[in-house]
Amino acid sequence: MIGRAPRWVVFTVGAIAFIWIIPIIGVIVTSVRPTEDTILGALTT
Amino acid sequence: VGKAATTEPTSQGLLVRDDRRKSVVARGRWLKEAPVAWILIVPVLILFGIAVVFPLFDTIRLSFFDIKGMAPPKYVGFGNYVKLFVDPAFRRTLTTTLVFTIGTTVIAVGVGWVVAMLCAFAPRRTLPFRVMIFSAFGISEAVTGYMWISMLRPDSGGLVNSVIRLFGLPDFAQPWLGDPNTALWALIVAASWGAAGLPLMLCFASVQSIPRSILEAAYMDGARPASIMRHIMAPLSLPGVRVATFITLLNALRAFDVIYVLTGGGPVRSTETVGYFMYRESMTQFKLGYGAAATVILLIAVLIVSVPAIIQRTAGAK
Repeated sequence: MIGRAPRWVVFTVGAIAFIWIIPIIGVIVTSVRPTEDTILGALTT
Repeated sequence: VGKAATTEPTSQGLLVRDDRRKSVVARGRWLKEAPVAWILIVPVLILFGIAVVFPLFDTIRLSFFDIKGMAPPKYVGFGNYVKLFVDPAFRRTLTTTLVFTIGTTVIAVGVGWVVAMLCAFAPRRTLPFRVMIFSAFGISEAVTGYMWISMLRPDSGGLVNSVIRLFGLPDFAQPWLGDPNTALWALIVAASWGAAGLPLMLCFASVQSIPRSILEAAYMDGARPASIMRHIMAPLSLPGVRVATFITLLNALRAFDVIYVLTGGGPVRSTETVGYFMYRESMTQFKLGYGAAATVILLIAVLIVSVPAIIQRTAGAK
């Protein structure tokens, strides 16, 4: 692209990408958590 | 060439003889190469016949029979098709398929297109983000379904409901997949999540192919990013968007895995598409003829979408 890209463009794409990757992170985290914790749900410890 | 070759000797006799020689050489080369071409293509044709053509024609044949379990098949002509169109469950299935297909295509292609245009402003800095979004496309639909089951769990363990409660909105938390009013939309979101990677890449390639001089001219004229996106990138990337729409539309029309895993067509058959209806009738109700008729209807729908698109895409090909 010509010139310097506006910062909001990178932030917007980054935000969408992070929202997009949440389910994959969830699976990875679930795979390393003990089963009894996994049954309780995502945001419980 | 043929007509020129049979004419009497003229002042251009040399040229005519040359044309005839070229024609004979070309024909000889074709005859020499034809067996090799056939040897190369026959295995593919046999496999294609076994894997595609035979099942296709057998399904069409089955759709004219009433098959119930082990009883001998009874020829019913177009009876299965008539029965399908008076079946309110199948009519509802058609509506569900239409909503699911359009919803998934609009969200997946919309997100992919917008993100592709944004990425074009900073291709290098957004590379990791493109990889993050595209990675969802590499996951199988069945795994996508299991991921979204844990995201949409009705209890406080579900991530979506947990986040909603975290923001102090407990009334909005609900059983997304258990309510007939929200199940289809939850399914559309899950399917779009998995499908958006391909439109993103296709649209990004299309945006990248826009001539640099046009973008330079806009930049020199002081156009803002939103204007460049709206007036330059969006119209000039339309060929890529059309291909992305076509592929996403076909995939959504044939969707099965994600529906099977997430809702199983429920609750109260509110998320049953034609593909799932076909499976249910054939494999769980053992009405093979009836299920085959539904398959043929789905095939016709796929052909209605794909044939004009293929003709349009290959019109200029030689």
